[in-house]
Amino acid sequence: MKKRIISFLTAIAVVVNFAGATVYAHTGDIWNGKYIYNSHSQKDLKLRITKSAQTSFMTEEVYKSALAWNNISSNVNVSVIMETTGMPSTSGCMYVYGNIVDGEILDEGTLGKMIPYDSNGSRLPGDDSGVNKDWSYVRIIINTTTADSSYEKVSNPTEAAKTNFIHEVGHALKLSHPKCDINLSGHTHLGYPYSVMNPGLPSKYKEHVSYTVALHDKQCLNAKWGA
Amino acid sequence: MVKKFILLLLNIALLLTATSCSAQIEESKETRSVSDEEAFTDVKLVKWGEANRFLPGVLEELEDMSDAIVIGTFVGDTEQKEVYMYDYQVERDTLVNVITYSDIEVSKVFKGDFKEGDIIKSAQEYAVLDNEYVTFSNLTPMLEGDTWLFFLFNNYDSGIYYCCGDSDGRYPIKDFTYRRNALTENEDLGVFEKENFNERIYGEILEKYDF
Repeated sequence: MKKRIISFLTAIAVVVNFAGATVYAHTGDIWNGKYIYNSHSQKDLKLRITKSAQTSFMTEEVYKSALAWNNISSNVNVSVIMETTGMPSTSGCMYVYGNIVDGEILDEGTLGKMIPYDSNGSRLPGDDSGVNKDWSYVRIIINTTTADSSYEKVSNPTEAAKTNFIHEVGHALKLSHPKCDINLSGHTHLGYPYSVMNPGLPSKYKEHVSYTVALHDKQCLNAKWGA
Repeated sequence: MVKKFILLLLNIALLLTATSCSAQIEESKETRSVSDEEAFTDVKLVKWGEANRFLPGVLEELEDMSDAIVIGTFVGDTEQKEVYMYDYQVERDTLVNVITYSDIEVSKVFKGDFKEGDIIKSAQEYAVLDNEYVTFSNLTPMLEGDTWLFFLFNNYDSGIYYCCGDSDGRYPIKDFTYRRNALTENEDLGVFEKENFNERIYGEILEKYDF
């Protein structure tokens, strides 16, 4: 009888342990909609880094961090093209811009922004939140003027800059900021998952912000675009 | 017989729980400190894009980020602006930001070179366009007469102040009655989604600040 009880309890423990180790993606952290044109979509997301986005700090090394989104979903492929003077236009690319010195494009406290558009270059219409609509293309704007001062506050500035760009590209792949909800699977850090899609930068007070693509991000990506 | 009795007890327990939850919800609605007059009833909320910001983890970080910490009352909007930038995709200028500029009258200062009665020029990333409330901000729009505790930074020393970390930079005043806003159920928190209200920092604020 004792052996039976021990075996039963062991089996329960194994099941609970396995269940606890499993993280499920869920729709709460993913936007609806898709890219309208295959030429501009997550299948071949060519990011052209314009000259305005390139500084002595925001380098090719930082921007190529976005390749962390590859080899997760067979329907997602990200590439980075560093624009040079006189470079001809790149077919099917989406552009990454720097804000240069303009406090109205990005304010001093904003690290970056992802903005989706329709095929006319207009903001998306209403009836539903614009981020949940079908997109034609996106613009990513990186705060190149604030970079030095904001990233000084973190322990590893270059890694923080990479984190921010990976985050923005994650938005371009239709991943939202995760909901704060302890009832959602994988949301084990005070209601948040450990994820690069959490807003802000990693710090001792923001341990739920991952420096790079984390398990929860991978599962959300697969849930959105397929394995 | 025993099974029937247990089932009966379970049903009674469920009934009592449901009644209790209902009573709590009703009580919550009755004590909500929001006025009856509702604003923004004729526009739809559109979250257009997403911004990543430098966010404070604790109150000390928020205070360090702030150029000004004040209690202020919203006076009114002064200007709404659409910001354009050249777009290589369509080879012309396209919209990249929407901003509403507002005046806030200071009533109490905790940090910064302001005094009671001063007007602060503030900005928030939203605008009303074609019967749509388009926003990049998690903050609800301020309504005339509403008073908040602000943690503000002076954007590129322009004299225009933004809330630090967006929704991390504005907090409700205790026992203040906020105007109803058709765009949200969280008027008393000042955010569209409750999850964007920084409960952790607000707890620290309540312990430290006298307001």
